[in-house]
Amino acid sequence: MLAHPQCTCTRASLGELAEALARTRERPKTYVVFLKPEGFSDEWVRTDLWRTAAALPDVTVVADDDGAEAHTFGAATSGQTLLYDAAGSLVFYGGLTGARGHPGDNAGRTTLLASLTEGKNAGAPTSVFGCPLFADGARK
Amino acid sequence: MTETLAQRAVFESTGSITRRANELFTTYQQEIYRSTDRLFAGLMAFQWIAGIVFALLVSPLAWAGSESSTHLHVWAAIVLGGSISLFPALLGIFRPGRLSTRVTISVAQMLMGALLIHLTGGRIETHFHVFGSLAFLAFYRDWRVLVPATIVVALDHLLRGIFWPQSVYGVVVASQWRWLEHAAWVVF
Repeated sequence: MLAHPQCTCTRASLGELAEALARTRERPKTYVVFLKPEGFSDEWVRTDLWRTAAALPDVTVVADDDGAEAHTFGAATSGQTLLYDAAGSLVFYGGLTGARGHPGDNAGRTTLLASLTEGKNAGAPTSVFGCPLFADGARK
Repeated sequence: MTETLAQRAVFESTGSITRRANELFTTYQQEIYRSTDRLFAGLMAFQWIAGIVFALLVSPLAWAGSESSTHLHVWAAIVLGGSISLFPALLGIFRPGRLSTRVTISVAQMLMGALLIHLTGGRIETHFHVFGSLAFLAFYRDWRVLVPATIVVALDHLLRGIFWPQSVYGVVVASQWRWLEHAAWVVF
């Protein structure tokens, strides 16, 4: 999951990620990658969202210097989640909430769970609700 | 049969007692209405401030990369919260004791609950505000204030359940009858 450390909507995305991981028998290797724009301090990145993500079992939290990883994965919105299978194929791409900052059942989490538990390819991406990872014009 | 003087005295005395009892009842009832109106005036102000503080603590800023602006929830808490609270609070202070004041307050109280439910992303725990409000409204000891309050809750849940279920139930797809279940608990 690519995330903005200051985005309050992402609290719901992390909650949905936690819910999805809790329902899987074999947890995937999971990374939550927090944006760290150039010139911003570590304290700016290490918010309660960082701590929440770090507290999830088997989840690795990393800082994304100037959004390099977000650019690589084509993520534009906080909460963008990608799932790759063992062969390295992308099987899920999208968000895990149904609206900004609103937790609860939604198409994104259901689709991710189906991909995780049944190995289904999600097909069409689900909508991502969160703060933009880059200001207008800042996306490379 | 002729009425004795003693019987007439008893009848007059009974009528006088009834009149006095009615006077006292009306006086105490008005006192209850007026003091509860004043209580709600304070509660309206408290809820407005609490909503703003909540929005400032939970979602103060909306971010776009390294740029930030005030989150829409903060404006909603200030503007919508103020629109809902201010008028009934003023009625509670300047026109206490009137039925129109009580009804306005009961509608505003439930609208405030709807706003708080939205600000918390439809968290089911925030729905407890509705039941807390019913307890406060019961202070009036007037069943008429519960009617508009129940209608507001039912309509809010019905309309938002149709157009934006995530906002009120925290789920994307809600049963078309779920509003009725919530409204039934309010009536209960």
